[in-house]
Amino acid sequence: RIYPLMRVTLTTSDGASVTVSRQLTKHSGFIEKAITDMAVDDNAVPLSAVAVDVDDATLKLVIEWLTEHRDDALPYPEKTDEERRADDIPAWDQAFVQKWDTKEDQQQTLYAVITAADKLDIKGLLDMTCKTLANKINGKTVEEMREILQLECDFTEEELAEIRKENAWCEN
Amino acid sequence: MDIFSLPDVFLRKVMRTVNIKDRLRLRLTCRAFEELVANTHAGFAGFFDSGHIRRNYVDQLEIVIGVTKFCFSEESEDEFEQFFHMLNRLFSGVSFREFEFIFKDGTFPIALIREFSQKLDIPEMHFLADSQVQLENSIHLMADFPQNKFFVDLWFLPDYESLLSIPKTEYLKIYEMTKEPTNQAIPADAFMKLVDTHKLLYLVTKPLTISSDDLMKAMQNICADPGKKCVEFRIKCSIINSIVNGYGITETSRCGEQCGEFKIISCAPRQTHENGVFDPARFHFRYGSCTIEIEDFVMNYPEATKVKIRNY
Repeated sequence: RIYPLMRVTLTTSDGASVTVSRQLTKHSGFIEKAITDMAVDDNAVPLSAVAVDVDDATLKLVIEWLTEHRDDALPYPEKTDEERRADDIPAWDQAFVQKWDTKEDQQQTLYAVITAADKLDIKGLLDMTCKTLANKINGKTVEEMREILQLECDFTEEELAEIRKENAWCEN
Repeated sequence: MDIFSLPDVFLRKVMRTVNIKDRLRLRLTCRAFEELVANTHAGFAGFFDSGHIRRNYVDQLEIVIGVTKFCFSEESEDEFEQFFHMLNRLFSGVSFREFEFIFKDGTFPIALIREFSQKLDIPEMHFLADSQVQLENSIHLMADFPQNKFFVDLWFLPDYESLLSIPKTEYLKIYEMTKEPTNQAIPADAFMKLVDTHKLLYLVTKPLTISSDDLMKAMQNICADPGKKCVEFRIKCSIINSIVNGYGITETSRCGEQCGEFKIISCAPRQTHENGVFDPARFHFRYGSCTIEIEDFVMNYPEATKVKIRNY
């Protein structure tokens, strides 16, 4: 059942409060379970606050994404490995990710949104951010991957040569 | 925050979303990614419908896991070990519904293959072998997995000691068509043991030279077996003749007729067309809980006929 008029208050890890429609929170497995666990009368308005382990800035981004995707079908369709692809991110989502300021900021914001999507159990957002990260990696050289993912190479030259040789046996 | 502080479920999802070349390239970025790629089976799901190992047409050792093909052409022991080290690193713990060991057309590093197989979960193992050595390799592998289901295709007739040492299979098919042809037919005692051991026995070999008593005994054993069993083989028409004649079945017998313990379910005599082409004669009997289908059978004809006996 959906209660479009019903609203729920979320309290963030840094002490802020945000009140949102159940139409948005229905996409979050965590929030829906928290509401169920409260065992409140479904018609009560508003519900007690739900504490989420996400900071205010990240939660605002999550709510922005949820607002755009409020009418997405539920349950979220699980893809098999054969169906999995990264080139089908909707244009709005692409713009949503790209607008975060600097390159480093963008990466950190992406990681924060991923963590929030996982904690709040929002499958669609987790899927979109997964595709975004996969697209950043796809087709890149090892050096480019290190730069994008902010990694330091801790292999010796001999170890690298060994792995390169192993990788060469994969034909497809 | 770095990428390795992201939830494990997410990292596994990313591994499954980037393509295989990129996943393997990620191994080169740093130790943590090398670990992640190995621990996530290079991003493959933990379950595959099928896989196989074989010699391909350019004599490379080819291992297919899901849709990914690994090919190896070096022959030195060290190189083989390195190749299998990589497979062990990336695929330990993965499951296959079915895996084919196609031991044909060359040699195989069986010790390394056994070690690799130990790290996989393969409930259904399919073996194809074309020589005595490859059958022995297959039997060694089967012995490592006594709980598994086996499916065996042999493209030669092995010696009887090896043949009878094959453990219980879902099917054993023998095609004596290519290498090491033999003038011998499978003897009666070996045939009876094979019938008792395997769920489905399919012999495309020289016609069996077993007696009519042996054939009756085999039918009785199949009837008495509590599980599903099916046996297909070729046999001289004269053996069938001696049984059916003994029960009063003749060329004039008709469908539905009960002749002793045999009931004729259907019979279609040989039909010769104007152009000389003929449809083979087909007889279909019931005996106890068994059905017996006989193809190419012409009474009092010296040729061999194909017989299928099943208890379901």
